[in-house]
Amino acid sequence: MTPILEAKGLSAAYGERPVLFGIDFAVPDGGIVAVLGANGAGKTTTLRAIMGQLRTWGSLHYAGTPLIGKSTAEIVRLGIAMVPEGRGTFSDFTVEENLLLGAYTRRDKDGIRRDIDRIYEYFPVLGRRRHQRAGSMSGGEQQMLAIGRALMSRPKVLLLDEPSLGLAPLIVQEIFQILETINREEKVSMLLVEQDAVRALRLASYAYLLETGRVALHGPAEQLRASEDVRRAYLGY
Amino acid sequence: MSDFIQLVLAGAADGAIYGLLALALVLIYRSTHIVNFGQGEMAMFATYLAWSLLDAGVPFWGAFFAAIVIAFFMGLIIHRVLVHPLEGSPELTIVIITLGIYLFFNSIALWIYSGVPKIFPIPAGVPRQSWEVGGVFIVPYHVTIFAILFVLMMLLFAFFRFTKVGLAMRAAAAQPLSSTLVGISVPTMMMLGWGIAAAAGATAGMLSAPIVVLEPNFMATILIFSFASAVLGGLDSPVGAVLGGFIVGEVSALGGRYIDFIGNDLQIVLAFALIVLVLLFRPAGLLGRPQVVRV
Amino acid sequence: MELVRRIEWRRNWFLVGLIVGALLYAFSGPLDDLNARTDAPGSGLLSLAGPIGVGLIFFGLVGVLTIAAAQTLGRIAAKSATNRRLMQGLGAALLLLAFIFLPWYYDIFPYATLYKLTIALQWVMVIIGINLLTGYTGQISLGQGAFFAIGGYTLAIASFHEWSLPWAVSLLIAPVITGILGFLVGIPSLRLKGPYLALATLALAVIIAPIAKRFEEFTGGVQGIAMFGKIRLWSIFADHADYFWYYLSLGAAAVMLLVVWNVMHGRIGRALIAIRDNEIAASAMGVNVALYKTTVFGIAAAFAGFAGAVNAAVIQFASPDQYSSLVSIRVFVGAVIGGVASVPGAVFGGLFTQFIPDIAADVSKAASDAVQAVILIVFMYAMRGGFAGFVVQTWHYGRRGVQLLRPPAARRQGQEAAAPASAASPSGSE
Repeated sequence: MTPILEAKGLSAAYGERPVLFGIDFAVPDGGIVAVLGANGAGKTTTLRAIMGQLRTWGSLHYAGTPLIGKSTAEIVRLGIAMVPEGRGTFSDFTVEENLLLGAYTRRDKDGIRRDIDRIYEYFPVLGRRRHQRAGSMSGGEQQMLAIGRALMSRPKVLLLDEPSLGLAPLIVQEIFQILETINREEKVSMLLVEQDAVRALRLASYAYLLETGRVALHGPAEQLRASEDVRRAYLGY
Repeated sequence: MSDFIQLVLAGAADGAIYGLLALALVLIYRSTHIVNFGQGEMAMFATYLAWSLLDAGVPFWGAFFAAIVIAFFMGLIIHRVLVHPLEGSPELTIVIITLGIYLFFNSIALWIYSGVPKIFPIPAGVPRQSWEVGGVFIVPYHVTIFAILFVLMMLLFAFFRFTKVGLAMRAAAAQPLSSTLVGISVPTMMMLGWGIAAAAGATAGMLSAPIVVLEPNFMATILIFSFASAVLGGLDSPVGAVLGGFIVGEVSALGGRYIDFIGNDLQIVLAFALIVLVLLFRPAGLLGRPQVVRV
Repeated sequence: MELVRRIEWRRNWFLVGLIVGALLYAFSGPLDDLNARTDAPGSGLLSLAGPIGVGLIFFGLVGVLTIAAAQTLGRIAAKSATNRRLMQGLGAALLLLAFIFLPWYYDIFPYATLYKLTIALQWVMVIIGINLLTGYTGQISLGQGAFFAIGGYTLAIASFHEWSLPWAVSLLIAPVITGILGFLVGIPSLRLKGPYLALATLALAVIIAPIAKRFEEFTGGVQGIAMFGKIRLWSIFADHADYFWYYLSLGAAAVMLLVVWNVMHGRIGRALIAIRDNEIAASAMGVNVALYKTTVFGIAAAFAGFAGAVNAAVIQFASPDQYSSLVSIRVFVGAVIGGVASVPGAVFGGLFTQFIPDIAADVSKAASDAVQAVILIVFMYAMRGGFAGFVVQTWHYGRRGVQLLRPPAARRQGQEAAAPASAASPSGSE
């Protein structure tokens, strides 16, 4: 099965400063892949590179289509969406407006309406607050909103940047459970960047470990979970 | 008493014009965080273009709308060509560019049309005779100004609230990074902001030209009053801009009449005082949001 | 063709400009005739060929001379810091001498008259203040014209209208008054940043004329105060008044230049730059930001006030119309074009402010501001450091070695094998 998202020798730079040095990774169609690593390892940069937000070179393909050189808007339209670090919700806008903005690249009004309702099914708390200002919601609710907004563009691949950041464990658990459901029912592949390696490895089927812009280690999630070195260095036990 | 009411109405009419140009200033500030010193001159040039059309025989409302459309495209182009490429430049550079816009339009207007004042007519169909209502003389043209302002505000409100592009523009102004992730082209939204602002400015120019005489510097003092209005209302609040406009208009009119010291000449000093006082003591204005500066 | 593609257009633009300028200038005659013959709208633009050509030639020559100087003198200057100081001092001395003897040879320059050169020097004084205030301390003031006006009116009122102080006394009082006013204006300005300060100072510039018109008994109202023939100079100068005012302006400008230049290259200058670049950090380092900022405002205002007083003495007139807000804007533009953070650039800026209107008037009287606007905008793109910045950049370019062509096997961007093999330390932020 060809991976839906595949990178070979992907490199990226902020202006003149290189940050990724030829990384390889693949996200299988329908799968969840985790990207782990310490701060500064290049995890967020990888996601940004996929979304076309910095200078990239090498090979990066989504369902066979090369992504390098495309604008972010084009990439969104192709079917990739990102949930940024810190949620990135439009705080002055209502929940409903946030979701509508997520569907910006779409034109089918009825489909948009149906999808909004579906999001409210996955995240009932959002449905209850649909006219509430996003900025006034709790961190967990905003995270759900951010995921919902990303899903509104009907992506085939969802990029998530540290969804657990700053959230209480119970909320994180709830969110990860919903993510798993979405992955299963909507067939949305996911590339998950996380510092909470334990949880990430439980959700994902495969994982990559980044270290200063390079892939240090990769393998099936259970393998990394079992590996002593990984456990000691990154999982803390 | 009727004298007083007439004064209030006249002040409100001036205020409507200040508010309209202030609205343009706010639109640009909200979308690009730029204080555009050249807004008045852009509006002035658009008014001259309208005058040219009228001079060539185009009926009033045709010229009026044509000028607004042309101004819209002018705003688009200026942003794309002059402002967008310099994004991220230091503040001084941006101030200088807008000053360049001020000087440029001021001078080519002078070049093309010379400094000889021209007459700009009031809209076709508006009676010249004042209506008398209970001892008070109401100027129909003032009513027209209010009406146009109202219509414009309603249009803008509907646009920003109910259309997809309007929503996208608000999003792009508030959070450009998140907007990009949703597929919004932030530079395009900024460009549209400048276009709409230029159109609003052109309207302000064409509405005030019949009152004061049309010459290349006629928008310069109005610009100061409009800045006072925008600052008073809050540089990021469109409603505040218009509200500020009315307040400045009334304060100027009433101050000019009842405070001997001020008279007709020093009204602009009132505007100046307002600018300084507001910026010092309540920089966010009446309706704006206070900005937290991260160190 | 390969050769053409390898030409470094950007770095050597002034050389290209020199050639293009020469061509434009050569054809300016025929183009002018063409303009005269047709009535098509916009044909006036054809006449721009001449001035544009001259402008390009000017920059081209300056560039070439700077490179030549860099490669010869630069080598000497690089040997030691004392050498450098000596050369800078020599350069300044030469410039000063050039100005000292200018009254004898100014007619080689088109449009130059002693009168205009005197006024140009007054602009230089105002601009030096702007260099200090905006270039170094980062406070954008579009209101220096207001202090200029106050200086002018001080002379007019104190010596020829309300009171009868000797004009020399008024000349000295003017900077004191404007200096204090500037300092006071500087206090509320502490709370205003960037464009807001620009706005408030612009408004200040706008209200000067209406205020002058309003207080008629004091200022002479719309008609202003005429001082024709009333300024009595000591007998030795009486017959050479224009020389007197020229040298007075030159002396004052030179002193201001020297003082500010010295201060700028010392501790105070570094403090001001720190304030400009990061106020909070500067204050955390112990710099008394408030005191510096207000004092600098006062000094810049004092310079402008003095210049205004001398200006009024030379023009022998003070009226609201000569002090419109455009004065503030034009002098600010001049400062930027000379190089807003460059004190030597003030000389170029002052000359620019005074003479561009003349050059542009060849095309049309109104063209002057349009030309300034276009030049300003072009500078913001290409030469943010203004004329002085251009000279400095070109000097360094000359020192490092002029490069007309790129090396043949140009590396294609982004396709480096093994990505930046010589990778700079990947201080990766994610």
